[in-house]
Amino acid sequence: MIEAKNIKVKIGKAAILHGVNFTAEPGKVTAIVGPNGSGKTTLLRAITDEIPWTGQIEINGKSIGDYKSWELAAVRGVLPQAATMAFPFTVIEVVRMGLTSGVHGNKDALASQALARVGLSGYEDRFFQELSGGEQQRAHLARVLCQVWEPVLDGQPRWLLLDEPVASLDIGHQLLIMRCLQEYAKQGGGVIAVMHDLNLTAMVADAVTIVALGQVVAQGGVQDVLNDQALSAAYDCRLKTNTPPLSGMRYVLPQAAEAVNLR
Amino acid sequence: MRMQIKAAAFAALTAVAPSFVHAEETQGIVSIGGSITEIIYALGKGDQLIARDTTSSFPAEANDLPDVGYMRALSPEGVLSVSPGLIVSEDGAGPPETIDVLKAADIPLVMITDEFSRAGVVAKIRAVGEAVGATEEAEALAIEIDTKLQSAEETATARAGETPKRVLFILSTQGGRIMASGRNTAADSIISMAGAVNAIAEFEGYKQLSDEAISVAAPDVILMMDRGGDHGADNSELLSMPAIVTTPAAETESVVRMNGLYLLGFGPRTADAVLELSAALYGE
Amino acid sequence: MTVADNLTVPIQREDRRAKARRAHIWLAALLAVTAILSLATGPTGTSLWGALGKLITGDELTTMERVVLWDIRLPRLILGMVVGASLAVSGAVMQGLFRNPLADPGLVGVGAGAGLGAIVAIVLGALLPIWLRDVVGNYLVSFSAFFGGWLSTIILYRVSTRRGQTSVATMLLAGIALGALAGAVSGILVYMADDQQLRDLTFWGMGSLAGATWAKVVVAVPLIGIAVVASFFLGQGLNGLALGEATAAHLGIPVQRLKSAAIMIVAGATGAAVAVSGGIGFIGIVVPHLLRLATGPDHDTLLPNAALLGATLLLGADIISRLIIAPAELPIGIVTAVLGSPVFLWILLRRRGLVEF
Repeated sequence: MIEAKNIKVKIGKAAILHGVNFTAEPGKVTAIVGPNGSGKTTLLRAITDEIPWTGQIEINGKSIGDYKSWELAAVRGVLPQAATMAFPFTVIEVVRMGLTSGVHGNKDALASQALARVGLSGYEDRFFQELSGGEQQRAHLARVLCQVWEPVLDGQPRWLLLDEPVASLDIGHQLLIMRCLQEYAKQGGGVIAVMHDLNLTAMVADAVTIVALGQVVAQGGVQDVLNDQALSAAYDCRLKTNTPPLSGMRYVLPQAAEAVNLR
Repeated sequence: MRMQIKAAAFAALTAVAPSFVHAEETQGIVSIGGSITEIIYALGKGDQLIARDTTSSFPAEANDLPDVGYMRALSPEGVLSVSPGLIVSEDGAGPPETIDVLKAADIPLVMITDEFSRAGVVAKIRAVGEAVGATEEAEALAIEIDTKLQSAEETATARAGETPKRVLFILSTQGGRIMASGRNTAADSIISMAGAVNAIAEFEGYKQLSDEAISVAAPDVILMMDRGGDHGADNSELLSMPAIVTTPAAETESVVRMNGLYLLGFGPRTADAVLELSAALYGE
Repeated sequence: MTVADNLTVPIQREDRRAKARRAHIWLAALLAVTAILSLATGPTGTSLWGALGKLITGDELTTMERVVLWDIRLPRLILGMVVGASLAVSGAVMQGLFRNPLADPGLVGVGAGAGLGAIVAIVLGALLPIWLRDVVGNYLVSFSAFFGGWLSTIILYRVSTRRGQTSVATMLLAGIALGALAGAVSGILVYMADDQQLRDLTFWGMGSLAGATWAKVVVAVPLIGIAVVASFFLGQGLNGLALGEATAAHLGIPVQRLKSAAIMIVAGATGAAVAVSGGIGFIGIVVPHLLRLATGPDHDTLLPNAALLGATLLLGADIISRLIIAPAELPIGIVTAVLGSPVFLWILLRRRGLVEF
């Protein structure tokens, strides 16, 4: 379980998060959605301890302040939205960097398998800097997977914390990656992903949190949260959701929306 | 270590009694310092020289000898490679680590002090003579040079008369900056010996002068070494420099250039240098 | 499906990590050969083999053999190896820390401070009380350079570290400022210097191993040795740092500790190297670059290889400096500059084809 209570984040004088409460359960894909500037990425960055925050955050029942840095690395992996690369490492070298703490078995085998999972088999000896943006993102995900390879370790769930993991991917790879995350959760791991694509979210997420204007405005299952009222209020335009009878999977189409300011 | 104790003992001995170190017929002399080399040749011992340093440019035969480099940056193995039997050096050879190694190798090493005066030249000749085992020739040469110098200085004083000229010695004008000589340098001494006055009396050593300071110094003559390269701005360039153009030297276009070792070496040719300089300043 | 099923897949492909590890052996062998060459050659023509032969048969060595081999060449060999290793490793660590392949150990302020220390010692050394000068003896310049290097590193570290976090960007800017300040003070001292002191300074700046003594070896080897070996432990940390500080932290790398350790190691290693041998350039930039091109930027293998290659190259440069204008000696900084600049230029031109970092 990841629990965040009363999270406040300020940048300079501006308050970005105004006392937010958030939970995520293992075995589920929890999506955080919301408009630009709502604070959804800020919330994730507070949980990954990248920015100063006040409040309480616990991972697996322990406050993150009580974890040593390598202990944290053993229970959670973080996929940033963008990362830099200073030297001409190959893809396999980058993925291997994820093999830090708490990994068992043949290390090299894991790196190649992680690459296979994200659809980058055979990319091992390519130069990382030569990859496209989407390929680099997937390679980083492979690295993060290596870091927390086993979804459950010593009875404790391990976590993937992802900031827009499929933002720069084509649709085929988007589906591949989201399925990969689903699989991880099914095996007992926890997944928290900041998402910008509502339809993918509806397809894959088990729990959704909507963040708007620095507050959590809705939290719960897809059916409960991704509805007309909540979405329209959060995104400031009239959105209509729909559920085709056969698949039972909710979707939101921009064509059906009207960009009207409700306030 | 035994070698360190040995080196220390040797150092003590050579420091206390330099005259202790000499050989009757010394083979393989390494000479460090332009004036030392000149003196060794003048004593007739030039054929025993096997190497010299970079500043030893006179006589011409010296240039054919292997060059061990700049005297303050000697390489120990380099010096040893010429198989020296004796090293005679101006004060200030280094670095100290090299000197230590040479002493540890049991190579006799004699340091000769330098003093920019007639007495200094004479003492230098005697000291070098003692070091290379040519005491009689050295005594003869010393007396000869002493007399020559005395006569040269008298002639120079006579030529100067009541109003000695003010001379500015310029070491270099590189980059438009003028490095000139103050008191207590070889240049300062040779200027006095030639019956003139150093235009700069405010500081010691070679320093960069501001344009105004040069104007205030108001030299009648500018003295330089004639080495070419960056030391040698030609006369028209030199005299049109803003610092110099207002000086009496520029008005009368009085620039004297002489070979560096000849002028400043304070060796056997110094008497000739004094006469030549005073002639250049005042006429015959 | 459980994860454990897939762990039996063997790896067929050989990547450059194996190549980099094999390089350890090649470079060590090359270093050994160069070391023997360094002991065996010199302007005096003293033969190493002759001396070894005598030692075996129990004969006495001549004074010349003893002095040349034991007092001159052997300390020079050892000092050359540690200084070369120190420069190369410091360069690689700095490049990893600043995430820039063109970073130089001088960026932590060691160079400016050491240079200023040396100038102060050369120009103002006579002002020290006699008793202090006797204690320090010939090593005044070395001590002063080392002390200056450390002092400027500490100042730089303090300036760039706020609330326990060191900003590498601030360090870069502060280093430039400190360098300018050191340059100004140096300028004043240069003005005060007499002709001899100026020449001493010039030669110091060009670097030399000619002053290698056992005393310097005894001090420099442990200092540099510890620093270089300690740097080998920074390998994984520096790799992670290449992805950015945030990502490195998420990987469990203690980023602030890594930075502090890197800075201290570079200050110690570079400070000691500069103190005993003056200013020698290019090794810190060229060696890590060449190795990255050949075997990749993985710091785990890069750092040990840099130590070996740096030692070898400096020894090679030393052999050249001793022989090329014998019996005089060319300052080793000139040799590394003459050999290093074309290589550096080639590296820069080649980079134009590569992706920007």
